[in-house]
Amino acid sequence: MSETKIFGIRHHGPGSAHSLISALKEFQPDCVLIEGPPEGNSLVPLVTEAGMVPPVALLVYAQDNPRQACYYPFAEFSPEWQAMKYAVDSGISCRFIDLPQSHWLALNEAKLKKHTAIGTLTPVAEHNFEQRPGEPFENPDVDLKFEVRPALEAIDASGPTEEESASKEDSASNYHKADIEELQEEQELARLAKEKAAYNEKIKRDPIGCLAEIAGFSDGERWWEQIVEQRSQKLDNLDHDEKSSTYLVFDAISEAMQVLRLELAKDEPSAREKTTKLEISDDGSERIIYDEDDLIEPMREAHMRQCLRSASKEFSRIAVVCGAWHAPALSHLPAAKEDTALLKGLPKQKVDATWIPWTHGRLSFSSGYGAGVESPGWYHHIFTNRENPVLTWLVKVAQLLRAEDLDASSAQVIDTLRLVEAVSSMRELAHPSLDELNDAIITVLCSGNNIPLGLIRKKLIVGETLGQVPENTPGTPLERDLAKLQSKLRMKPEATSKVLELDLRKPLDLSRSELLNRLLILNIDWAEKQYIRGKSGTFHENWDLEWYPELSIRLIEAGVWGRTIEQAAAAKAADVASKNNSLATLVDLLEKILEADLPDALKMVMDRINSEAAVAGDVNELMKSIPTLARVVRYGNVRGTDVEAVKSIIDALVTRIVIGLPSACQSLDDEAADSMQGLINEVNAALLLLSRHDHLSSYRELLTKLANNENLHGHVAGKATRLLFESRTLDDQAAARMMQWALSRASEPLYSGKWLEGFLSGSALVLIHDSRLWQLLDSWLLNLDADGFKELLPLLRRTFSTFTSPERRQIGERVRETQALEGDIFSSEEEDLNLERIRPPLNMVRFLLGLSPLSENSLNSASTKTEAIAGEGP
Amino acid sequence: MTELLAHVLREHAEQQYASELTELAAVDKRQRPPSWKLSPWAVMQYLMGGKLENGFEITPKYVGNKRIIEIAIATLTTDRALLLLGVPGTAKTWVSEHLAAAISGDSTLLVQGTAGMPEESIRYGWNYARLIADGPSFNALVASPVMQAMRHGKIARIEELTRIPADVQDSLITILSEKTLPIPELGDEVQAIKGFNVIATANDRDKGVNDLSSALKRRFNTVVLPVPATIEEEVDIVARRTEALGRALELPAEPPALEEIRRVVTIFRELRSGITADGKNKLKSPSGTLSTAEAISVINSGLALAGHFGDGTIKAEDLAAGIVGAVVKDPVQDAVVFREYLETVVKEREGWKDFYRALRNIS
Repeated sequence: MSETKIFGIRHHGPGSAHSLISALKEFQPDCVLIEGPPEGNSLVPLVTEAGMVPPVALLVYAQDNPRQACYYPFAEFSPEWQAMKYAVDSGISCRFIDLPQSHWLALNEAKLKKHTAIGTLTPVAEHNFEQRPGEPFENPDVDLKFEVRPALEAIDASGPTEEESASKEDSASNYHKADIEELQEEQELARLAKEKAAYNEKIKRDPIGCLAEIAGFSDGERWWEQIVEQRSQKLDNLDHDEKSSTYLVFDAISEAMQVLRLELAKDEPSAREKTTKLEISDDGSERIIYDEDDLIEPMREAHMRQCLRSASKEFSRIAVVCGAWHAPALSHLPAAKEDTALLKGLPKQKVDATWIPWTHGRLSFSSGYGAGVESPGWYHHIFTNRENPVLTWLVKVAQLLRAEDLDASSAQVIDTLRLVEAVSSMRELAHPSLDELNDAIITVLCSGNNIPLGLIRKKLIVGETLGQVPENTPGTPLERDLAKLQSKLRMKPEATSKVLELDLRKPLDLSRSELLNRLLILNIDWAEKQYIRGKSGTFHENWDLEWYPELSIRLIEAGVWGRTIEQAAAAKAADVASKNNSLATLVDLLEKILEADLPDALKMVMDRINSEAAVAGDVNELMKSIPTLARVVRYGNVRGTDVEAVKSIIDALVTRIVIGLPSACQSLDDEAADSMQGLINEVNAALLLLSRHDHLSSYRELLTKLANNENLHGHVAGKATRLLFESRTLDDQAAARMMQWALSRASEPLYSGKWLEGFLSGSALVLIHDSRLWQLLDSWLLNLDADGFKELLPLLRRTFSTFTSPERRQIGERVRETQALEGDIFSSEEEDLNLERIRPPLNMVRFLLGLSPLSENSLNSASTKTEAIAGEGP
Repeated sequence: MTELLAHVLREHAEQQYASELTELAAVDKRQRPPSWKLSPWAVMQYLMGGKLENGFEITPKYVGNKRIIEIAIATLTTDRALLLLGVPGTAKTWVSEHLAAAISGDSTLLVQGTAGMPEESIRYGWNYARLIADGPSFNALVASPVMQAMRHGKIARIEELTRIPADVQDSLITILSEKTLPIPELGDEVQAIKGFNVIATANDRDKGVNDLSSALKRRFNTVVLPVPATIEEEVDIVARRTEALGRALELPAEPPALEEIRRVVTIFRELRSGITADGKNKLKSPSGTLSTAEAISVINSGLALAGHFGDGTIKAEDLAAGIVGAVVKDPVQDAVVFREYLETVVKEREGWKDFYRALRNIS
C-alpha cells in the first residue's frame, strides 16, 4: 500500500509555499499530484528551463475556438509552482489532477448552448465566452477553481456543491441511514431555523472567516496570514525534530475544513435530495445537461480521487498538493464506483495547453481574479527576502517615494522601522504584516497623508512584474514568429506602459511601425498609436506600448489567419475587405494596410474600393473617404508606399462627387444640411492638401453652382460661398453681393439666418477683417424689423457662440468702434467747425494722454480726424 | 481637597477616571516602558474600553478605529513625538488628554498654542524679581510645562501646534531631536528623563495656520483622526459625551432619547458630507465644519433649555436653535443652504414633522 500525504494549501500563499517545500523535502515523495489541468502535464518540465520566469500562466484553450480558454496563473510564491519545481528538480513524476479542461470547456459550451436554445442567455454564460478587452478573465470558473477562500465557490456553485461532495462520500449503503438522519436534522432545523440559517449562510459565504472569528481575528485573510502563512517563518527557527510538525499544519487545516464541510452538508437537506435523486435516477450524460453548476465541484473532486487511485498503483509515496478546501475530500478514498459513474460520459473537446507570461497585477484581487491575493508584490517580497523582509521593504518604499520626488530620508526609514516594531508588539504579532507596514509608512514617511502611498501602490504592493516563458514553449507558429520579430526589432514586451517614438525615415523604426500596425489589424492592441501634431507629424509616430496577458490568447486566436504576422495580417485584412461593403470602412482599412505595408492585401482592397465607389449611391460616403485617401497620398511617401493607385481612386471619387453633390444637397433638413456643410468643408480641405489643379477647379465650379442655387438649404449655400470667398474665386465685391442677396428682405429671415450660420460657422476672421462684409452684416441687422430680429436672434447667437472668446471680444470691440464713429462730431460733415480753435484743447487732451500733438494736415483730412478721436475715445 | 474637587467644573481625565486607571494598573502585568504608569496594552484598554479579567468595566474614551489609537500609542513608545491631525471636533484634544493621563498619570502639562505665543511658553521664562535680586539661577527660572515634562519624564501636550508662529514652533526641534533644553544664561541644560514625549494636536484646515517646517514635521509621527465613519459610531459618541457632560453640569433634564441624538447627528452628517443618508440626493454643504463636538454642544444646550425652561424631556424646539446656530455660520450663504435642506429633505422625511416646524420657525 502506498503512503499518501495531502497538503492543503492556500493558492498563492508564500507561507504555504515555504511550508510545502520543507514538507516535501521531509516526505521525499516519488510522485507529486497537483490541482491543475491534466492537459498541462507535458509542460511541467519547462518549469525549470532557463527562460522561465514567473509569473506565468498555464493557458488551456479549445483548438477550434481559442476564445474558449482558461488560465492557471502561478507566481514564484505559489505553492503549486514550488511543488512543480521540486518535482522536476528531483526527477520525480508530477501530474495535474483536476478535472480536465477538455471536459470543463465542453461543459461550459453545452451550458451556453442550452441557454441560447431556450432563450435565456444569462450574463454569466455570456461572460464565459465573450472575450472583451479589459476584462481579465473570460471564464469565471477559472476563478472558482483557483479560489483561495471557498466562500466564492459556495456562491458560484449556487450552494449545494459542498453538500453533494459530502453526500457522495457516503457509500451507497448509507443512504437510508442518511435519510433518517436527515429527517431528524430537518426537525431540528425547523426549531432553530432562524439562527442556523444565518450561521450557515455565514460559513458558506466565508468559511475561513468563521475560523478566524473563532480565533478572534477581524477577518479571514489576516488569520490565515498569521496562523498559516507566517508560521513557516517560525518553523525555520525550530530544530529538526520539531520540524516534522510541518505535517501537523496541513493536517490541522484539513481537519478544520472537514468540520466546516460537514457543518454545511448537515443543513442543506433540499440540496441533498436533489443530488440523491439525480444520483439514482439517470446516467451521467443526461445529468450534466440538466444540472450545470451543481456537479462541477463533485466532479472535480471525483477526478482528483480517480487520479490519486491510479497513482497509488504506480507509486509508493505520493504527495497531493491542492487547495485547502479540497483536502478533506481526498484524505480518504471511498469506493471508486461512484466517482466513475459521476465522470462517465462527459462531453469532450480538443484542447491545447501552453505557458504564457503573466503579470503580478493580474494576480491581485482588484483585477477581478477570484483567487487573487491582496498584494502580490508584498508576497513576492516576503518569499524572496526571508532574512529581513521588513527593512528591505521599507528601503524599497523609500526609494520609490524618492523617485516620485517625495522626501524619504534614511532617518525616517529607521523611525518607520521602530514604529513597525512597536505596533506589531502592541498587536502581539510575531511578524509585522503589510497592514502594520502601511500604517507606519503613512504615519512617518507620508506625514499622515495616504496619497503618496497611492502613488507608489501599483509599483510596490501589486508589483508590475511580467513573467517570461522559455523559447521552446509549445506555441502557435504565429507566437514564434512574433517572438522572433520582437527580438529582431528589439521590442521587448513589458507590462508597464511605455511610449515608443519612431522616426519613419529610419529602416528599423519603419519595420517596428509596420509590425505594430500589422498587430493592430490582427486585433492585438499591444500598442496604441498617439496622434502628434506639428511639422514632424509626417514622419514621426508615437506608440504607447503595454503588453498584457490577454494578448497571448488573441495571438493564438489570430493563428487561423496564417503562420507569420505579415501573412496573417494580410489574410485578415483581405477577409475584412471582402466582407465589408461600406466605403468608409474600406478606406480606413486601406490606410491601415498602407501603414502596415501589406502589398498582398493592398491590391485586393483597392479593387474593392474601386468597385464599391462605383456602385455607392451615397455621395456622403464618397465624401467621407476623401480626407483619408488624401492623407495617404500626401504623407504616404514617407513610408515608401506606392500611392499612384490611390491617386487614381481619388480621381474617380472626385468626379463622382462633383456629379452627385448638387442633387445630394437638395431638400435637406437642418441636421442633414449641417453634416453636409461639414463634409463639403472637409473635402475642400483634402483637395487643398492634394493641390491638384484639375480637382480644385472642378470642385470650385461645383461650389459656385451650389452658392447660386437659391433652392438649397441656406446652410449649404452659405458654406459654399464662404469657401469660394476664401479661395478667391469670388472677389470681395462678388462675395458682398452674394451676401446681400442672401440676407436681403426678399429672402425669408430663416433662410438668411441659416445662410449666415453656414457662412460664418467656425471662424469669425472674415467678419473681423473684411470691413465691407462687416458693414454689410451690420446694415442687414439694423434693417431687420423687430419680429424678424426676434426670430433670427437664436440663430445669430448660435453662430456667434461657435466663435472663440477672443474672436467675440474683437467683434465686440469693432461694434464699439463703429458706434464711436457714429457719435463722433467730425463724422457729421454738415457742421462747420473751427478747426484752428479746436486744436489747442484737443492737443491738451492728447498731451494728458501721452500722445503726440496733432499736426496741421491731420486735422484737415476727415478720416484721420475720426481715427484720432476714436483712438482716444474709449 | 476632595470637597473642592466635587465642585470643579471639569475634572482632569486622571481625576475623573482615577478608579479605572487604578484597576488597570492592578491587572496590568505587561512590560511598561520607562516612566510609564501603564503598559501600552493597558493604555489601549483605557482608551478603547473593555472588560478586565476581574470583571471591571472600562468605559471607551475613543469610539472609532482601534488601529489609529494603536499607532498613536506605539509612536509614544518610540522616541518620536506624536502629532494628532484632523478637522475641528474629531477628538484630538480628547485623545491627547487621555493618552497623557494614562501614560504619565498627568494631563496637565499643557501648552495652548496661540498666534501671539512667545518662545517662553515652550522653553522657560524668568521670575524677574528673583532674577534682579539673585541673578540668573535655576531658582529664578520659570519652567514651561514642556520643561517640567522633561524633568519628570512625562508627556507634554501642545494644543493647536499650527497656530503657534513658525519661529516659536521651531524651538521644539532641539527638544524633540536632542531631548535636551539648553539654558545658555546659566550655561546649563535640562535633559529629558526617559518617558518624556510630546503629543501635539493640529488642525490642517483652519484659517490662519502656520505650516510646520519640514525639519519639525520629520520629528513628528502624524496620525490623522477621521470624522466618525458611521452614523452609529457618531450617535454613540454624542450620547456618551452628553451623558457625561450633563452629569458634570448637573442639568436637571433627563438624558436625551437616542432618537433625538440620531436626528441631530443625521442632520450634521448629511450637511457635512453633502449627501443624504440614503445616498440618493446631493446637498449643498454649509461653510462650517459641523463637527461631532458641535453636535454634542447642540444636544447639551437643548438639555439645558429643556431642563430649565421646559418639562425636562428634550424636544425638537429645544434643539432647533442650537442646530441653526451650528449650521448657519455665514448669515447669507449658509441660510440659503439650510433653507434648501429644510424644504427638500427634512420636510419630506417621515416622522420629522416636529423638527421641520421647529427649525422653520427659527430660521
